[in-house]
Amino acid sequence: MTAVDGRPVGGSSPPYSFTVEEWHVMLEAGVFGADARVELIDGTVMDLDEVGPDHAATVQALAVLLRQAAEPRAVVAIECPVVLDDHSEPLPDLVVVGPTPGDSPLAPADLLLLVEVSSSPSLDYDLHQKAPLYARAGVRDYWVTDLEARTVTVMRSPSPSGYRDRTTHRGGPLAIVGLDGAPIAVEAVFS
Amino acid sequence: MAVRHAFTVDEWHCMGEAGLFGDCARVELLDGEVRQMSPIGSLHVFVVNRLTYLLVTRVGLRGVVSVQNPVVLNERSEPEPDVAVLAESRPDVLANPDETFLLVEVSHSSLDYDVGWKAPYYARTGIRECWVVDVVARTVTVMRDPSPDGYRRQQVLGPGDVLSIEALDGIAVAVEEVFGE
Repeated sequence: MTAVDGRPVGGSSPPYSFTVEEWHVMLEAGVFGADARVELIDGTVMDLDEVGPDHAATVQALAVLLRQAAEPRAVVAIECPVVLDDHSEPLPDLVVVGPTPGDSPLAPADLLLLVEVSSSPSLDYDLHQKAPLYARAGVRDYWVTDLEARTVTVMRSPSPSGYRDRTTHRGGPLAIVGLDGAPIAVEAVFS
Repeated sequence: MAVRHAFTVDEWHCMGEAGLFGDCARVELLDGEVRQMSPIGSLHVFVVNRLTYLLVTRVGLRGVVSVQNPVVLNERSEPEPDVAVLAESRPDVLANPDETFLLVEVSHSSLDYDVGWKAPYYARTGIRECWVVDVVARTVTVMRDPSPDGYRRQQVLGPGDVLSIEALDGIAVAVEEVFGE
């Protein structure tokens, strides 16, 4: 059995799987430098994509819309790390967090919503690699915003084997499942 | 899209200084990836000790025999081969491929990995000679003439054969000696 790049996987010399604890030591020690955009996924350190202007603008637009819908009962955070399990601490584009966050890192139970803003080739990664990870960790509402198709895919009802509900929206209102506030309009995300 | 972060040797050293992996974890940096090394069994230890004795006595003052120590292959690789024969050892810098005469990996359960992936990687970085010692079959695969595609010459030596180091004239080690016979 070989990985994509031809090297054997597993076997006698498997890749080292970092724990979140080790990850924090690395970040505090400044291993990656101030400008690095990295996250820990399943024990592997991943480099995040460069953020293009479309991506940055959409993150900001979403932040405004989500704040209008969520505040003051919840807060919206951009690129805030979330400890999913012992080996994963991603840096999602946006999270909506209930009123309890303190000094400790965010955990899935703190999240009302997690949003990734995406375009190919990351779209596949966000829809099919990250979704099972977020579902396993119990993230209750996960949205993937597709910059090219101008759609939002909403995933809900997390289970150990993935999200049970997945719908893709080109328009119309979207509500944050844990908040009974005003929905946001999908069209407004891309306007 | 998001890709696996390829660690540099500088990042690797920073991780070590920060106390990651503890004192006992056996890990090495290869092609930007932190990889766990196989646990060392008694037979592995025995063969490494045999090789150390044989190479120290035969190489003498013509080189330095460095045992289970790091070698910097490039900016993203710092493996710890079982034995390295180096031109010199300096207090301020780790060995590099130019001053490495030979790397030896002693293999028990990791033969496919060592011969099939690790040795070709050593070849790509310009390590001029690599031996993979198979402690189960009691053979030594000698690989020379590195290229970007791997070693161009590869020979499996067994009982009755004699090992030599291409970069150092006149060194002879019988394969049996490696296994304590």
